[in-house]
Amino acid sequence: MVSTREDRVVNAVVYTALVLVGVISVFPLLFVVSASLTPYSEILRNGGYVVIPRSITLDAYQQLLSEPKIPRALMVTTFITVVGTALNMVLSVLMAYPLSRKDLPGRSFFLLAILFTMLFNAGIIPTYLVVKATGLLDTVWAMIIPNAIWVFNVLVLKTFFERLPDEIVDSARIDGAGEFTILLRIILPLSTPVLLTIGLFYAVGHWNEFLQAVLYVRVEELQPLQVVVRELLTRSQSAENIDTALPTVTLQMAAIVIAAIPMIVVYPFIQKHFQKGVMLGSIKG
Amino acid sequence: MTQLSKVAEVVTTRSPQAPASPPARKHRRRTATRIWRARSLYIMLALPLLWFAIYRYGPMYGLIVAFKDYNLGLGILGSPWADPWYKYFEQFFTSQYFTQLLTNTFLISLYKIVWGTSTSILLALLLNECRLSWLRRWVQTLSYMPHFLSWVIIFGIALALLSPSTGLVNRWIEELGGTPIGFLTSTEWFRTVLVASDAWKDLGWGAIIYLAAIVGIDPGLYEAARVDGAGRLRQIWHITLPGIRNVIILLFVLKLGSLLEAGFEHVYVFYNVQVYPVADIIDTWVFRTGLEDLNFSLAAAVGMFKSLVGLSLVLLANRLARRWDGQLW
Amino acid sequence: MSRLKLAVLASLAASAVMATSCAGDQSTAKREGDGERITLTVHRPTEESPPDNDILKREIDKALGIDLRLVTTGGTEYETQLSASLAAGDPPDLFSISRPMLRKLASQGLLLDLTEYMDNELTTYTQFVSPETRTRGKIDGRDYALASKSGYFYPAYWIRKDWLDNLGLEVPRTVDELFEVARAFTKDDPDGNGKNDTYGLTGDRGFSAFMPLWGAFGSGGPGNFYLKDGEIVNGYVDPATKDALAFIQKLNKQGVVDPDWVTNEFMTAHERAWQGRAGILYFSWSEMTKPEFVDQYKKANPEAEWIQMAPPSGPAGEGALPRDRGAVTLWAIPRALEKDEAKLQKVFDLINFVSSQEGNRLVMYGLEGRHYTLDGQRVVPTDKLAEEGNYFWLYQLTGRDDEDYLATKFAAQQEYIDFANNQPFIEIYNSLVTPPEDYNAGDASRFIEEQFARFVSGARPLSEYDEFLDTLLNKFGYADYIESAKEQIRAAGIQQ
Repeated sequence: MVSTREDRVVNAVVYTALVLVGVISVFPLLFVVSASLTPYSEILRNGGYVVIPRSITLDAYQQLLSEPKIPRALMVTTFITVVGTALNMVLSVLMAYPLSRKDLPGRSFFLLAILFTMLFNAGIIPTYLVVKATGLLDTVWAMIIPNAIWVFNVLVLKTFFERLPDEIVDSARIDGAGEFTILLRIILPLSTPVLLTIGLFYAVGHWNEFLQAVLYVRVEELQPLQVVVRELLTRSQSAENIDTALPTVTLQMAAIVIAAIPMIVVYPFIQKHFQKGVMLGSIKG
Repeated sequence: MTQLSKVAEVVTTRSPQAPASPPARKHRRRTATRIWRARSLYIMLALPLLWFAIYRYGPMYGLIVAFKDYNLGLGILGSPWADPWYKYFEQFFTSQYFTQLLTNTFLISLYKIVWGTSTSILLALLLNECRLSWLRRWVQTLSYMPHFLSWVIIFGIALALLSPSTGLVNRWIEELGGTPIGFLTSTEWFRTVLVASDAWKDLGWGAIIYLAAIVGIDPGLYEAARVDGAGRLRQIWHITLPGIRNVIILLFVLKLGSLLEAGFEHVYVFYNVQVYPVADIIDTWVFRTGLEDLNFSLAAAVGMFKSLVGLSLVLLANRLARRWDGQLW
Repeated sequence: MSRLKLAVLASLAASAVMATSCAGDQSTAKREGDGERITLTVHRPTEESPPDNDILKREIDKALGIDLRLVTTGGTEYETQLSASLAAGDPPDLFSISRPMLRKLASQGLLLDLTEYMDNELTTYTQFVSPETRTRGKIDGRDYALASKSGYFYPAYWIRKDWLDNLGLEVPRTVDELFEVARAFTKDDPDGNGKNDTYGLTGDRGFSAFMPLWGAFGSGGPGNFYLKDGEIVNGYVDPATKDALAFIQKLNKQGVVDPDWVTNEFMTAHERAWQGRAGILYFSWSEMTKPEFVDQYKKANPEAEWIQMAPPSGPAGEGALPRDRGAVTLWAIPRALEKDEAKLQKVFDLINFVSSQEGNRLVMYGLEGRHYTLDGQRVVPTDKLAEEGNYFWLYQLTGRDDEDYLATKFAAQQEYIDFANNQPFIEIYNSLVTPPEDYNAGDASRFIEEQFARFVSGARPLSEYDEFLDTLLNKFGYADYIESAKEQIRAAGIQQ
């Protein structure tokens, strides 16, 4: 294809802009990573931050990973993320698909009903009572079930399902396919980008889960990663605990890196599904 | 007619209705038939709806706490009604700072939505138009990372850049002969810092969903346009953007629903006494006011206020969205 | 998604399930115990939590025949969680609360009235703490909470001795001398590096940099309640505060205070001082003198030598620091426990145990032989104490005898400890006060914070202070707050 002058200008603008975006996104992260590797005394000496450390220390990481709490919290969080996301996706898809069919009787009613729950929050204590009544307190499920469906995500799925041409569904119906078949054989395969996106949203939500653990789970062994990391980040000195050492900036940064790394690593793997034309082309076939 | 507008037509045309003024019996039977036909769909909805019933509607009675003098010992149902019933709403509305709180919340939230959405869409477009796949992948991943930093960390970074005495930016300004600017302590700059840091944090994250939408556009449309002689910019304007229009509208409407949220943790971490007039939002006020005595009733009343405003905005926005076929229902 | 990926995910999930269920089993096993032992849940607000290998728990469990579960929740979520569990009817058996919450819960009938038990089941406790401490847990004359012993006072002004030496200055003793020294630190390049990068004072948003200055002018600190000439006064109303404010304003206007103090959090304030950005800091001896910290800041600034400084004297005479002896931990027991006599007794046993000589020694120092040895009556710590004993304070429910404790654990820092604790103090009674029902604390505190910051920085002239006070007292209802506070303080037995 011959590249026109417009093409080249657009490319130039696009590349420059993207490089800029890349740089502004990454440099604060570089700061976090480098701070996690710099000995505290050097950080102090250089006025609080160092871009390229003169000496590297892995002490912070060593300290964190050797604490039995962190690897265990990592496992808890992994479990919640994997199982939780699976549950989220199943429930969300089961809800989004029917709502995307314009001919569903009562559609507006259902939509308003769930939208209402997104706008009106019943409060922490009543929710706590329900969580307790359903027997989830102090179990790992308290971090999975009470937040199993996010209305936002359901609505996004619904909107994406609606974008798929009606003809496909109609022709499948004429062929005698049932709704479940349509959902599984047609809708889902064509919706990989949005499914991955929403799956990612849920997964990250679980990964960063904090409030529910603190409220509903009073058992040390089930504390997820973010709670343990918080422990380190917001420690302050009071009269009683003068025995404990204040966490240094180095330690805090290392904790952040450990907490964020897995999610960051996962993303490139699903990225390739965001390539143009991969999906819709198969409709014609 | 392009495929997409055909789709749009199909989507907006209502399904064929029953003939005008049918006999009552026949109408009921039609409805019954429609319900029966849709039974698989109802089965699909069963489990999720059950979840909603238990975990979202189950606790809903808690909304009345806004109208009661909530007493932990007596419970929600047993607590006495507030006297007058609007007592806690009044406490909120008569605060010396009410107007300020409302204005700050509204403006900060609006700026965040506008700037956040536009920059994310822009990034999605840029990524999509990027012909160098290595560049696209790298920037996509890098831009998504800031989302994982907590506000406390980002504040630390902001300080390192913007503090009047030691911040990098101010050091450059001084070197160029200017006077340092108190970005974080001046009422002129603070909101800009807030909005910019929010846009930066969610730039790549927000772009994901627009990218997913862009990917779903039929490549045939682009082919056809190219054959017609349209350049890239025209393709973006006439195909890409309209193609993700209903996603943009959806997100915009939903964000309007939480217009009075403005991001508590963000503001709380960043703000300080000197910028209260432009930064104090409803949630930070509730936090400080309720802190001493755990005033659940006040928090509930304010929450209800925010929800009602959010609901009205969503209803309004949905009505407007009908014009562009982007309505939610 | 490809089959392979599905399989990988599935096996990941499976292994995660197995791993956590194993962990879950262990915890259930721990929880059920041998069925004979009563489980006690104790809840306290802090970020830290006991380690997995909890030696103290084992000993306490053994001594009392219980299964003690100490649960910690950090920050602001603690009170929410506690409220939720109280509302749901499954509160902890013993929990720590703030005084305002104490008053609220007691009035809602959720706490056990302990008055009857104090002189019977809880005698070990009542002998451990002084009657004055005990009043901290009383509401309207009845005991609803058990207060812990108050400890030593730790913070003091610290100053860079090497900077003083470099500039040929003496340790300042009056506020005017302090000002001169601060100015010299800012303008005269005390670290000799040729750069204009130092300040006199630094601190955090909580006005920590100025804490020792109020007393020099006869004020007990803004917003504090203290006795003056036999009367209970509030710091904002006291004219002495205005005088102090004038001085502090001078400090800021003259640029001798690190301007970043407005945005500094607790953790960053001292870091700036350690970096060498300021020469005067108000901080606790524990961070300034413990070897690991000294190590850190010495590496950054090898010549740094910090020494303590008494609060400067001023127009009102000798300087003083505001001190609230009532800032202790309050432990409450839920009313519902009344019905479970066996469990209630165990809770009392626990309180008594940590207040007894044997129990208190255990939670202070750990195990004899492992963490310390006895030289006659004197406790000599071993290395293991520093290594393993960092969480012991969590179990020091009713406090500890700071004199012994600090002397034993931090013998090397004894002079700093004593200096800090022997400073002249103005007693403040804020911890006895809870705001009245319709008082809008949020609005008032915002108004105060905002205006005070403007006075301190000089953005608002001090001539307007009276106007500020008037608005505060009337428009924001602070006058009512003061009245109520005075009543509460009097009711607690503080003489008028």
